[in-house]
Amino acid sequence: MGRIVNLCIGLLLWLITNQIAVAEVIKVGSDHPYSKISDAIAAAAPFDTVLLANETFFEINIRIDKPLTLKGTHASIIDGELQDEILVIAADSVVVSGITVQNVGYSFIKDRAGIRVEEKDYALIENCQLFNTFFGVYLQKSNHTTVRGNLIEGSDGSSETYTGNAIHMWYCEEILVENNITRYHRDGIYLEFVNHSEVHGNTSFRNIRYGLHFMFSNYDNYSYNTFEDNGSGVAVMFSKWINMKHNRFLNNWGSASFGLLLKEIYDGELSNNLFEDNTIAIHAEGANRILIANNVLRNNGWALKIMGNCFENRIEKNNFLGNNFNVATNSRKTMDTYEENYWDDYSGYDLDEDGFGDVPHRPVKLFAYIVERVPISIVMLRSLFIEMINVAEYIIPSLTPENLVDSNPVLQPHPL
Amino acid sequence: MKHTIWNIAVGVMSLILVGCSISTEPIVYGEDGCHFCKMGIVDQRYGAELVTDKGKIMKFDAIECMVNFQRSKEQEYAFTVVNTLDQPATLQPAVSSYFLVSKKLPSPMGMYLTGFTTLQQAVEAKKQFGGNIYSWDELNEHFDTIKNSGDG
Repeated sequence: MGRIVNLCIGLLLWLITNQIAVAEVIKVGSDHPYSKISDAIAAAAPFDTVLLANETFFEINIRIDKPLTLKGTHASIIDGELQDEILVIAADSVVVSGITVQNVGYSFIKDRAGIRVEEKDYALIENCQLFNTFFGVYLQKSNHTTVRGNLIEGSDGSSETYTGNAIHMWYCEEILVENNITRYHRDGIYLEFVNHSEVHGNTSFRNIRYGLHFMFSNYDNYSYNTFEDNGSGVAVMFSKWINMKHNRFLNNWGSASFGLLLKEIYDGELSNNLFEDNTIAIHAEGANRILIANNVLRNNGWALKIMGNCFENRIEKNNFLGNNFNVATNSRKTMDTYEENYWDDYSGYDLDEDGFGDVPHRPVKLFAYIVERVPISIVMLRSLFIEMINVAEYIIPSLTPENLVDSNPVLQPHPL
Repeated sequence: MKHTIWNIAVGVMSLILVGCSISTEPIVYGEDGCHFCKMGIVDQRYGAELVTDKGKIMKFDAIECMVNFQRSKEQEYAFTVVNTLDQPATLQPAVSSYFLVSKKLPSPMGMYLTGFTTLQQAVEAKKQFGGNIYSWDELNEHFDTIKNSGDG
């Protein structure tokens, strides 16, 4: 028995020491044995660390084809000189940490990226900087990969609209995208056919199209992100079971700009978010069975534009404050329910003092309905005539959706 | 005097006619939105545009969005134009263009549908990326099949 234990301990020690002995650090730089990163990778054994010196390397198409850690500082720069891709991860369990990758040229044929994960799993890309890389981090058929703490900036020359997405995911499962900053790209974060993934704590701003964009993706969460000054904030399209919580949608201004676009989506939850200073805070088209609750919608042109093809959404306990239009729609009927929201234009009273208004509230003003039909009539905003017809319609509804009613409006804003 | 009035009338008429001239309009990438799916139009390879015979212009972020829209509505169009991979950001007549459906070329709305200005260009691309080539008429004919299969 004792011999077996000894043998086991011996084996264990041998394994551990063996591991330590194997994991070498290979330095790359002009003062080191390797001056090219690709040479160092070729010489490395699996689980070695390739450490970059603080200098600029001019290399492209570096393939990491074994499980390695590629490390350095932000002064360790790999510059692609506006040619092809820079880093291609072609093995499982690769770590790329702390370095700077810059200058990938754009192409109409190939979606070149600063760092591409090519059909491999368990990659970790953290604390890197990517500048002017056409596509930034591109996950192609990768699972269980983490992209964390990176700064990804496209070209800020505003004339150059041809840029790719900062973090692009295509056919992935279980990805974590956390605490990244993206700007000046097409979309900040893009998910196409990506399931069971988390987008958490990122900041996306000044991207040309969207801060975050879902296409054909299911069972994903995004929370605690900030989307500011993008073409539009977030677009969730053709997707199911997306949870959207504690995000901030700010300053998405423009004739076709949204804070959040919900298009053909089913069964999600949108709660505890802040929508402020957007042309249209939420635009819903073909959105079904979504719970929209506990959000603050403040100082937007339109707070909620919800089209007639939306069904069984629940709009509950939100605060509508200082918007030009609280709710607009193009339909005379609604299949959604509105309960216990705070409406700043509610003019009812609460005689029984239960906190709920005694008169139901109709949040769609006649003018909102007219503008939806004849957009140019927006020039009449704030005219006396409009105020008059709004009041008339409020008292005797004839054109606005008859059943779009909040029967329990609250008198004080929810503490959110 | 009579002449002057006549001249003015002709002038006004021609102005009106010029003002109403029906033509395509360049897509402003990064600003225009898709008429069908509401997405912003950014990719200079995949945009498309319809102009009705009354001159109303509708822009699309992807050729599949334009076809989907056309099929949802019975209407005559003066222009049906598309972006192509070989000449990005230009608008080419859809009728004379060819379309490659290849898994290697993802288009914005997930149909893997890319336009080419000429058949030769499409054939060249097919050698590189694989897939199937369709003419405009064939594309419309087989649209549902392509849409459902994710062919390529």
